[in-house]
Amino acid sequence: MTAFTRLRALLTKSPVHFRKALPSDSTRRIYALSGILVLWTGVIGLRLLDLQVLHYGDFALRAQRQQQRTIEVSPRRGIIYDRNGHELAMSVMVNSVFAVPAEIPDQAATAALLGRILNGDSRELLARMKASHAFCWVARKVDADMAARIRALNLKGIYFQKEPKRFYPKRELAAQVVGYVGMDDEGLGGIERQYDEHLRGMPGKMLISMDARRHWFGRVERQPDPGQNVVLTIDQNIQYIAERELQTAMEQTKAIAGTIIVTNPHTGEVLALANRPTFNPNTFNKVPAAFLKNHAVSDVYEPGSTFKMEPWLRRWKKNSHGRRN
Amino acid sequence: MGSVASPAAGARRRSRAVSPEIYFAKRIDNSRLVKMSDPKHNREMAMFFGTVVLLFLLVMVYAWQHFSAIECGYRVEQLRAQREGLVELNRALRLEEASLRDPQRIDLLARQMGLAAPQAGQLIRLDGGGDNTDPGTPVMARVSDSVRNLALVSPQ
Repeated sequence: MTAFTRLRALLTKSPVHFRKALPSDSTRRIYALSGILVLWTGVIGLRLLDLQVLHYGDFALRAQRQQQRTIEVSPRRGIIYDRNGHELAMSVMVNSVFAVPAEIPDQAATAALLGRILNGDSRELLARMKASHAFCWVARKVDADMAARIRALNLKGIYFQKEPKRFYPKRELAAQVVGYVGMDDEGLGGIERQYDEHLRGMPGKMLISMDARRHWFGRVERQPDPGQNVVLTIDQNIQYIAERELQTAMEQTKAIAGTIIVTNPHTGEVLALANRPTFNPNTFNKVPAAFLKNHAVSDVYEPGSTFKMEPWLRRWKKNSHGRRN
Repeated sequence: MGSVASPAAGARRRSRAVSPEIYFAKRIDNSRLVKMSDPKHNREMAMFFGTVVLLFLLVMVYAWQHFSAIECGYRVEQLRAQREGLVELNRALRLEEASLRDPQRIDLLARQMGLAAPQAGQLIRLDGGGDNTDPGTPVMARVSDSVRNLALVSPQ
């Protein structure tokens, strides 16, 4: 019994029942609960230490691999204009369809469905899916209608990617002059090939961060250098008239091939260069190779009597110069 | 012969079975007691409290700006995608316009509408070109310089 307790008893003259202090049940319970909490906190702390300190580098690397992607950004190919600024060739972004075969539950059925829509060989598509687990092209640079039909199917493992596609809005107009490009936008003929390195541009790079739903929330990019535009001396109206007249002459004479060249005699600019037979550069792979030829620049043709103009003009110029002196 | 157990011994035996507690039978009146204030302790507690509050605010600000940056990133990417979509739409419309301006298409439509190419002598230039000095030759309408200057002086 403490002094204080004795004093209280004396002052209050009340009986105080006390016993020697022993750990009560409530105290034991408090100790037990505290022990559990300390243990729990310790386990959590150790786990945090393990995650944030011991394995920090490993988890950071894994997160980076999951969240970040490096994408090469294709440069926009330059536009080909006529002398008056009318577009003869330009690129727009269209959808390309690709598959991640590892995510497709039934590859055979998916290939059959896609083959029917694309009017292609579903077996060949299935073989491509089986050849790779991560990526395979289904169809490149499809038109908007076909892309919408494939998107409406909502197939698992089938995704879309934007790619630039070259269009020739004037169709057959100056086809051999303008030329055409391949699937990867490389120039294969005409101005497209001659000025390919100017039209192509330089690709850029993009480092993107995306979440679990593949939504982008950040990017660092080096912008691509777009290709340079090319302005021709061709006048689209004169070109059309030349081609129309050439077509009429071909039908009248039943000729195999023909060509018309219109130039500015003062400057030498070529205002029109028409060829027959011709082709549509939008579907150049569906015509015979002979149609792709530019007869005006590739064929050897004897000038004949037309060359008589040259010595006569030279003589006239010499005479007129002498008369002036 | 057994001895009579004292009340205290009995109480001790009972206490081993139940939790020992001390009961004061008389109510204690502590109203006369006044807690002494400890300024040093109070200062320390106030500083500790302020430090904890400050730390808490810092953590909250850090978390807020971190998640705000992520939200802004989403918004930026959304706007970028929207802008790129509009740029592409613009290009697609330019392509469509170029396609509609195809001379072959316009020629075909004109002929379907009954139009024909002008014959020699039917073409009259209104921009004052050529050597024609006939006063009856039609000219392109244009605002004279005096009227244009008047409009500049009094825009109302």
